[in-house]
Amino acid sequence: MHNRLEKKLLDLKRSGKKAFSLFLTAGFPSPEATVNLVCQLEKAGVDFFEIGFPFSDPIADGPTIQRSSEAALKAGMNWEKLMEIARAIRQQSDVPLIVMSYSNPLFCKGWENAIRQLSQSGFDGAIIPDLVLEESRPLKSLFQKNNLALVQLLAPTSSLQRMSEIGKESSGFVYCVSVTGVTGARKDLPYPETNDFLKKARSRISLPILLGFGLSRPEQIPLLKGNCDGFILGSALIRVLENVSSRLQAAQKAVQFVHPFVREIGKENRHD
Amino acid sequence: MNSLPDKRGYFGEFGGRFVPETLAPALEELEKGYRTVGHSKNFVEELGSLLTHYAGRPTPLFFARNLTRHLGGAKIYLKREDLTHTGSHKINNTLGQCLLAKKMGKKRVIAETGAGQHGVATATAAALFGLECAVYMGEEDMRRQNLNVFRMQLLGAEVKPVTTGSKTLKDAINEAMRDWVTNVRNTFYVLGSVVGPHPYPMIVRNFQSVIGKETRSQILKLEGKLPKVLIACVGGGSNSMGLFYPFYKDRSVHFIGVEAGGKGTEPCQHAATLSQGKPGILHGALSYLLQDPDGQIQPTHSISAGLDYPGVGPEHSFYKDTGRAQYVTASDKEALDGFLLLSKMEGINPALEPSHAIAHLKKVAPRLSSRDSLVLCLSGRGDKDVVEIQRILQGSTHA
Repeated sequence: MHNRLEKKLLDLKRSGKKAFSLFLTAGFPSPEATVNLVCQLEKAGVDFFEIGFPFSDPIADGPTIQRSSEAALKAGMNWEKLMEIARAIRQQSDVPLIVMSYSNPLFCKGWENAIRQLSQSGFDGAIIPDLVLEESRPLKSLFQKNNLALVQLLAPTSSLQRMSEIGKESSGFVYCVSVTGVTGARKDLPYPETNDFLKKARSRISLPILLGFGLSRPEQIPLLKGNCDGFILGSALIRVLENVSSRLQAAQKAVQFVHPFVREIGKENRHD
Repeated sequence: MNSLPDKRGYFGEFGGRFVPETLAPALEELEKGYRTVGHSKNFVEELGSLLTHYAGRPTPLFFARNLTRHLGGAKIYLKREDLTHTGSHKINNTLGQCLLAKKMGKKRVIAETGAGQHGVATATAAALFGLECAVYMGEEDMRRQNLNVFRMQLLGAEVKPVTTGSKTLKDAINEAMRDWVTNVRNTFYVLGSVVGPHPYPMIVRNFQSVIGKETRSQILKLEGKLPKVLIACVGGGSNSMGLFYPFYKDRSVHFIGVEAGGKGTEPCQHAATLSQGKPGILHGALSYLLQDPDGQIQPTHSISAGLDYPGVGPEHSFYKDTGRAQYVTASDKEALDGFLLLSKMEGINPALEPSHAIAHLKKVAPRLSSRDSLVLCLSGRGDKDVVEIQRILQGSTHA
């Protein structure tokens, strides 16, 4: 049984297109803005979304997402509101939604309960940045039972053996982390190393591989596009949202910002 | 001693390895390095020699005659970790980890610190082994433990102020982990307590268990029998685990861990993780945790920076749930009284962390027979706290 995420990835693959995914912090700048942003950005050509549940101690995140998480928590973001956001999006759209959460908020609700609630509220997948293979294996059947794709992350430090294992264990796609480090916009990436890493991953993994961490400019896309199946943009967009005064302006600015990425990712000039 | 953790790094249901994928291979490398290099004859001898000639081990087991007479009941012995080089038990672990870092070919070490004792001990070992060193410390703790900041700088370490979150130990660990994720290829993370992802709780426990091993043979020599009670403060829990672990199978020996009761039992007023928390995942391990109903980590408070932490080592959680150890609390005020009591009775200024354990003595010693003994781990000396204590005492007289 394919869920919305898996179906979307399959469609993209069949039509030879790259995937484009955005990360948004749930409740930043407000819960209503998150719902509106998803709906507007989907129309602008974004394929699916990661909705980050803010956590007090996000060790894999850089300053930008730390700030947006803190602001969202201060404004009262909580688990129930995350479910409301997903349900509100589902009333308007069938775009695939992935929850991004650290382990503890899910563990705290009880893994089974949390996974079921996420699925029932309209999420199609989960990315849990501090849940490595060794810890996620015992939970695999729970995710499968609830038709929630557990997307595994792959790092430049992962051994070839881990790459193969992660490729086998992941669902939907594999999230390739571009550099050693935390999330955050970087002007440039070590392109030869990142491409080398992507090539290694691709030769061992049959699922689509998407690249995230460090993207900030559309000019980066053509330098990496040949070796991956799509891109994930996060902190750079959050930075744009830090300077908006209204929900309407948030959507306008975000659409404006992602447009050149959509264009660049959609171009059919791949030289693998 | 028990054979835990298991292969996946679990002590019963606690522990594990909850980290970003980037760090998973580094933890495998560390585990392998520890099991091979760390157990080689060469390593064990070199570390043993350093502990003796550099750190000043074995530390004395001191019979606190005046305190015993004052409280009545069991004979009170103090394990004098405050007399080690750098003034706390932290040196036992940092010599071990920095030596391991060097043997594993790492050029740079990083550490987090709360009270500054682990930071000083890491900076010391790094200087000795010629390693580059950066220490993350919360801004609030830098204020409280200013003297230790300067000590670290004198030792050649870079002290990196942490301005996120509560600006204390928890946030210093977050920042150290972010540094490690970024520089993992050339950097060794010297974790200061029995917390964090596997294999840290095991490695730190093993390096600290020199405390309990010495204590066991010293007390047997002095008393001819095992003590009734072992008592130590618990923040992350490294001095207590170091004392307890070698007595694990001595079922007649009762373990008491004393947590920071702060200003009261309401949320955010204390750091009594085992007494008031529930299981959760933070800093790479599943263990007891102070958290809200959504799993967000709660702010903590303690008079002592070293205990001001919302988590605790997974092996302590295992001890709690299996009943092997008992965990209690002492408030800020009680700890301060403990500090003053030991200073006046025995001429020893203890650090504020073990002052919590001292405070609990009056509830334990009088109930035991004078034929019995108990051992308290005096994990560090109080020089670092004198200015803060002066501030508090003067503040309270003016109030």
